[in-house]
Amino acid sequence: MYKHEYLSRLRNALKGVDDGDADRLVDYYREMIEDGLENGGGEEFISSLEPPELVAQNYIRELGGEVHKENKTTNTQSVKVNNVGGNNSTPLIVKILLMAVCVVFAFAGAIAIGTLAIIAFSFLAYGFVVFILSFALLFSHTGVAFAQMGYAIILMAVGAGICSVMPFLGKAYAYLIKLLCLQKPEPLKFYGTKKLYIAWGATFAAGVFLFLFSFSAMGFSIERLAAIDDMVLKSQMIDSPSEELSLASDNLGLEIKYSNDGNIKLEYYDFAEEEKNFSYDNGNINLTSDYSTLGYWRRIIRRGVFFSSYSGKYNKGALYLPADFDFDLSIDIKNGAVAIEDMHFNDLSFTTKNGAIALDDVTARTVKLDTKNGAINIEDCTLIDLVVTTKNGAIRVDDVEASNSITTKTSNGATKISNAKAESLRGETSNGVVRFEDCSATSIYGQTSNGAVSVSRLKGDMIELYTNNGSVSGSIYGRKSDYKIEAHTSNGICNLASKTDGTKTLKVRTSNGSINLTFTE
Amino acid sequence: MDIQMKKGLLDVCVLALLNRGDSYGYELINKLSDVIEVSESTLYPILKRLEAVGQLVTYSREHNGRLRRYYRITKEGQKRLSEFDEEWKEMQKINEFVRGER
Repeated sequence: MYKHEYLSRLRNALKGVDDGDADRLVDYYREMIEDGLENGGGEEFISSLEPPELVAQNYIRELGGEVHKENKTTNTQSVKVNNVGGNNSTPLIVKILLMAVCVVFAFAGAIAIGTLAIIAFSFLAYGFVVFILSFALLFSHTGVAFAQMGYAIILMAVGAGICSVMPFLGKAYAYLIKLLCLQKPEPLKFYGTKKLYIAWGATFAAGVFLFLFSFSAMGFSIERLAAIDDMVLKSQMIDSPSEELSLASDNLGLEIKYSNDGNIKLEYYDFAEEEKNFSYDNGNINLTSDYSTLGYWRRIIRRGVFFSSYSGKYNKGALYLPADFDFDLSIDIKNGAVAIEDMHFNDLSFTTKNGAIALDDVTARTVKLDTKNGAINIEDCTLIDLVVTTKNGAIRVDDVEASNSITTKTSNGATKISNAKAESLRGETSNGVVRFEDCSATSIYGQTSNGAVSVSRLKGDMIELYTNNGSVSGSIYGRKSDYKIEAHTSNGICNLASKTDGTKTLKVRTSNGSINLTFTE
Repeated sequence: MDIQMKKGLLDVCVLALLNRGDSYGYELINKLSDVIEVSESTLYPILKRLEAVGQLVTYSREHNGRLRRYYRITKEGQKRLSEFDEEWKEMQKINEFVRGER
């Protein structure tokens, strides 16, 4: 006998008994069965219990009542959990339709509850991390630390609250589905002890109190609250440098543009109550955000309370350079992207930790671009040397002519060099595809550890293409007879036979993958 | 054993078990079964009665994602156990008399 069948028969046999008494008895047996099953009892345990009709009879006798005749008419039909419809008179087509609806609802519910679980755990995890990080500010920015702790506690309380009610939500949803399937579900009870609710409430209140308390520590005032959106565009004129112009900033998304009036100028957004520190000395521009209590409080309110961020506008800036700018330019930004279009420089160096780099129609001598996390896109540039490095991000170089070298290196991301011309062309990545398309150089080197090397109409005198896990394929511009060939694969098919005669050199190697290169003229 | 006597003894057996620590239905049945024959349907009215007279209280606690009802002895229940100790001394005297040892 199944648990549901036993309890269903018990409830039927208790007709005529007060609902509350009947519920308590059914709950008692439900717990008894669940404990028995949990201890490895199986169906035998349920079968070892007294028949539900006898239990009801004895109980009614205890209460001093009689067994009602209609109670003896018990439903002996086996009721399995997946029995939709509940009785034999429901047409089959209706049962099938109900089953389909139940399945859809069950699936939707599972997704909804799963999403809620992810949200709850994210709140908990994020809140915990923020709480721990707050201690780093406890002595330097006490008010900020309290605000952050309060915010973190609120997040954790909400996350814990959602986690706690989720089992009930699951049961409530199952209850609805059973109703939908025309089954009679067991009564639904919300559970949770008073102590638990008090604990939640107290935690949430503590978080709110700490958050509000921090305001006084940060010099909060209504006037400052009103000024929260008061951002203005500031402009700083910059004297011409002697040799090099450098810009260092912490958070700045920078565009470099031509200056119409011939002056060097830096534009950026700041609050009316100044928060950013700007300085310029002997060719060195410094623009940093003051990690002030007010600034941090603004971020808490905007991001944490209103779920919006002004950082998009707040961190934007533009550097204007005159058409005759003939100096080296060095940019070091901690977090921020840079976009340069239609400019020329001597040497250009750009370093950022988190941010994409985009160059379009740039003329320069040496260009060095380095980002840790971000893609790099270079298009239509004329240079002497180009060195591009990123750790996590794809590199795309298109239509670039370098009189000396083009070197690209990334750890995680594809490298694609197309329509490029140089003396030396080098594309390296650890994880990702290396692709050369319509490129021409004296020396060409392509390497990846995990990924394919793909070439199309590649023209070079010394071509080296290496990968560990991946194939090497494509077309080489020229005749096979022109090349000395060293081609080797450990696991895979190689369509090239090694040969030692030729004026040019082609070296191809892969450990796991095929080599399939053709020659075209 | 006489049914009425067994009922009375079952009451104090349940209280004695709860006096050692809070417990729940399934556990009570298992422990009592070592000493005296008792079924789930017999235990239920006993627990109900003891709660009605204030000798035990119940509370729910989460267990493996479901609620489980626990029982806890009260001061009244402990008082009943002390009274049983005294009654048992009386019973022993009567037993000795019935066996002719008195």
